[in-house]
Amino acid sequence: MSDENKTPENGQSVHDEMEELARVFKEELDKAIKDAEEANIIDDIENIRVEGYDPKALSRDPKNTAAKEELCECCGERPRGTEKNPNSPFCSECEKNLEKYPYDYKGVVGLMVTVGVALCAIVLFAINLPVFANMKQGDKALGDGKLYTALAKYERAISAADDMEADMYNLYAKRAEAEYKLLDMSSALMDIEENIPEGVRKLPVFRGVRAMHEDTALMQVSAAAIQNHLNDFVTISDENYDEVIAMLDSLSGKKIYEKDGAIYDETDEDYTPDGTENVYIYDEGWLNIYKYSAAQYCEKDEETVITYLEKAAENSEYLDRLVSPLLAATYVGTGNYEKGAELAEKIRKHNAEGTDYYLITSMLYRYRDKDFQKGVDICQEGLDMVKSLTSGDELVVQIGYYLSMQKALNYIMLDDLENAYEAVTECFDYQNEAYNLTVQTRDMYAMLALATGDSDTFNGLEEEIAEYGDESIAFSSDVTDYKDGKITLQELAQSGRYDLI
Amino acid sequence: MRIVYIIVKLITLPGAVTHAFFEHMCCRASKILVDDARVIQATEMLSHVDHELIRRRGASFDICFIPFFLNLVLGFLTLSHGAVTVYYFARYNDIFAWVCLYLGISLCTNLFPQLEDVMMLKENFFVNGKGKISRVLVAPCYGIFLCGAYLEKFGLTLITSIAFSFAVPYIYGWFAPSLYNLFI
Repeated sequence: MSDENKTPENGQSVHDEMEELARVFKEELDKAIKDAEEANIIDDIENIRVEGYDPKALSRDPKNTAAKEELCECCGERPRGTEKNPNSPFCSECEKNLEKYPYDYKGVVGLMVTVGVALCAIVLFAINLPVFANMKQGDKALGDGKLYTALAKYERAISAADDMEADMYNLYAKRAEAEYKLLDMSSALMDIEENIPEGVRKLPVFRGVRAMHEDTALMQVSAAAIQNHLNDFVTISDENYDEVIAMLDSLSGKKIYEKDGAIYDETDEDYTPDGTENVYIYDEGWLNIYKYSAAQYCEKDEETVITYLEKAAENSEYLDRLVSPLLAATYVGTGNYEKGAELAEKIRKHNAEGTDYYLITSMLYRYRDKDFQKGVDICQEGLDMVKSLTSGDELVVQIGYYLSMQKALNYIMLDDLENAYEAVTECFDYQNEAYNLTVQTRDMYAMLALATGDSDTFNGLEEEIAEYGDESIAFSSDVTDYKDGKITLQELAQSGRYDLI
Repeated sequence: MRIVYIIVKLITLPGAVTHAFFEHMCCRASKILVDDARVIQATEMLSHVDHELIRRRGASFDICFIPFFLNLVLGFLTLSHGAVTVYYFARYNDIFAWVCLYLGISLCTNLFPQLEDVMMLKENFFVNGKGKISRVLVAPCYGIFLCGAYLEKFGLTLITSIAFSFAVPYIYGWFAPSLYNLFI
């Protein structure tokens, strides 16, 4: 029937036709059964009944009127019960068939192997659980920007993995990522190169590690190559500032060749590349960082300094993390508080456990809001947070001194010199312990010693400098000016020279 | 599609054999007549056993659920080492981890019952069956089995099981660290 003829009327007529056909067929079947009964061919009738599936016809034969519950539970066709067990719910044929199919030995072997492997797998997973749990916790901390916690967790996982002598490449990749984000370039590079084979690094799942490796290698080589050029200048001063900047500008886009740890570039006339060396192009970010350093050293205007820092942060996540605190502090120092506050939030997202956010916020309270007590409180909050970390005791020595100095500056503004002296002593001790004592810390320590009447400490420092006999490490003019009463501690605290970054 | 189905079954033979064994076990336990119980054959019956129609509701549910559940448990346990070691730790030189990963994927590829068994489940519970509570309880299983049976028919369970294996480290990540902290 074609599609256009498919109407409800046609459907009804087909249905009627089929009904008629069924009626005729039933009449014929009944007639055939009656004839067969008269001719005594009962066995054949049985077959007809089954094939015809006429319940009424079936019910006419007393042999087939067995109740449903008397039929085999399995096939539902033959009477239940066997010779051996008349009460069996199955017919003899079904029971025989059920017994006929024992388990296939391949299935039994397969199951035994599978169960064995599954048991071994869960035992091995339990053994690996310390690595897994610490690594997962590290991942969570890394995702939340808690970089020191993440690093501590990865260290624990690596220590557990080392006990098992297992090469877990992803674990080293994760630790390298945490180190990279904490600006520990050399550790990240070492982790990648020593623990993740080059072949593994080429796999698509390690593309992030590959990018990180290329980035850190480029920056390390760029920094070393720029340093080689800067070594030509004995010192940077106003006299050669333009020359230094011109030299750094000239390196832009130039190739660097690295072979067996030695670094050359296109400007080296003595070196001819042989095609076996690693080739890089000077990183623009690092060129700008060196320009910034030169500008800062020569005390150039703030606009120039900010321009170099902004350019440095443009194209690299690593350099963005590196220069953001410097840039934020410069913004705050130059009165651009809005940008400073924006960057402080960004810094907190980068590293929620770093001291930089607390440092910038403290500066904002001191310079913008003149709320020195809040400045003290935020510094204390930062210090407490660092001390609460897993490796807090070591960390506070390395990064806590920034906040101790900020605390001291805020106390000076509150005219609480005793607490200011205590805070600057803490800063002095931290820096001494980490072997990175700065001139600013020493000078402020000396001035506050003098201000609080601790002349022994001041004299001791003076004697130490005299014993050393080096003019370049003598007290700055701030100390002599303060001693002579030409400048106050409050003026020095707000000068920006003592904001350690 | 039949050839894809058979190829997928042959690729994941250990899981198919295990599923067939569990199905046969259920048939034996429920006294269901088995017509053909060869576990390895290049037909649609690979990973299943050929059995008579099931008229009892309990047996009908058991034959769908028990092989599914046991294969899932074994697959998950096996993947716990395989997927975590290979995907999460990236410990590529651990041969046993690769074996576990393959076995886990093959077990998870062969979770679902035959479409005919699912239809029989529907017949027994939702067409002829009575009792609202049992219907409500069985309905989610029926939905899962039906979707799974269709996916398996087109060989797609291989893809879903590989996707599941990728998810295993994340699943463990939800509770394993807390569990570890609880005891350590």
